[in-house]
Amino acid sequence: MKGKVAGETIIAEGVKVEGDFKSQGNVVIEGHVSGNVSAAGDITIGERAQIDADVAANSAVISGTVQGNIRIEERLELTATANVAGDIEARVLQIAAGSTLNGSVKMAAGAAPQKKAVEEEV
Amino acid sequence: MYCYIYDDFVQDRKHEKELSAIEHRITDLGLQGKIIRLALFRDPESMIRKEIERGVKTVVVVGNDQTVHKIANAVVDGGAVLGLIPVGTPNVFARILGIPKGVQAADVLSRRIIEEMDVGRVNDHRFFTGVSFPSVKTVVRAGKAFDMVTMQQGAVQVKNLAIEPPKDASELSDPIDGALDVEITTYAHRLFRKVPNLTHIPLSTFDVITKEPVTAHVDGVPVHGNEFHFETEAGVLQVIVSRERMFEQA
Repeated sequence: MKGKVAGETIIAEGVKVEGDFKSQGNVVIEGHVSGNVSAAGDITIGERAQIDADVAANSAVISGTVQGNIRIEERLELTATANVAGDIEARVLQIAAGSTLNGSVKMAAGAAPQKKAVEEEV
Repeated sequence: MYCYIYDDFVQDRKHEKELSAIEHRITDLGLQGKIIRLALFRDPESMIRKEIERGVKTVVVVGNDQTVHKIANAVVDGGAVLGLIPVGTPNVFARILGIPKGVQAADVLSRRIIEEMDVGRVNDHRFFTGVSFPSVKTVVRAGKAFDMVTMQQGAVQVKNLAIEPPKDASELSDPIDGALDVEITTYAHRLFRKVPNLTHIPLSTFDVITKEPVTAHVDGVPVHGNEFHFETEAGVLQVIVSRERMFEQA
């Protein structure tokens, strides 16, 4: 059983959230959410998780299924098992081979931290 | 001004020696006060309310978690300071507050380190440690925002501190954060074995609803029903703790 971290919200497998869910901290979802999810901190969506609504957070790692739009302030990572049907917006985006994305991608202007890093090295 | 609440079971002969030693130590420390002995058909809350009206500032429970539960409403409503001298079991609350058993607890009283803690309320019952439900299908309703539904049987616990004696502070809910921790343990089936999964969410006001009436345990005291309304009262309990308490200072 995964342990809890103080202030962290965990929705485990076998639990379904129906309605709009907001958190002031970090959120880990392994279960089913049908309603908008927003977190002031980071969101981790596990391999077995299913989200049927929009997701908003500071940063996110998605390994499960999301049917809705995703709006991330900083970094969004789609792992090899991610399955997203919706538009995504993020400052930094990482997509692993094997993940599925059906939707448009919008990245904030001036968001190219890796390129900037190269320039700094030069 | 102190008032001591002796639970019914504390007056058994097996606790006679321990009680005598505690009383001697209290006298040595100059912490004497009125003793109220609980018994069947005596309403502890009304007795304590009267004592607080007469000027008692500190109510000391001599007993276990269930003794504390019996006088919780009167102490919180009266704004008195709660002290503990743990005798018998379970004494999860005293252990979290860092209060040793027996005579040494009197020394903690005399040092008078006071912490302001949250108190949980379920329907008409206040609680300090937590509430546990049996493993059934449950809905946790966070007002109009969302419902959290267990898709299978899941054991729900609502913690202000802890339900089982915690091994260390990491197993403890924060009693000064203005929220209660809702924890649901469900099981996933993986290759012939059941794997426990923990759902955890901090909430301040919510309902726990079961389809059929169940018996929940509020600070270890059984309460029957199928709709349980929870609220958090932030910082309303003043309680004497030791430096060895298991939670951080506010």
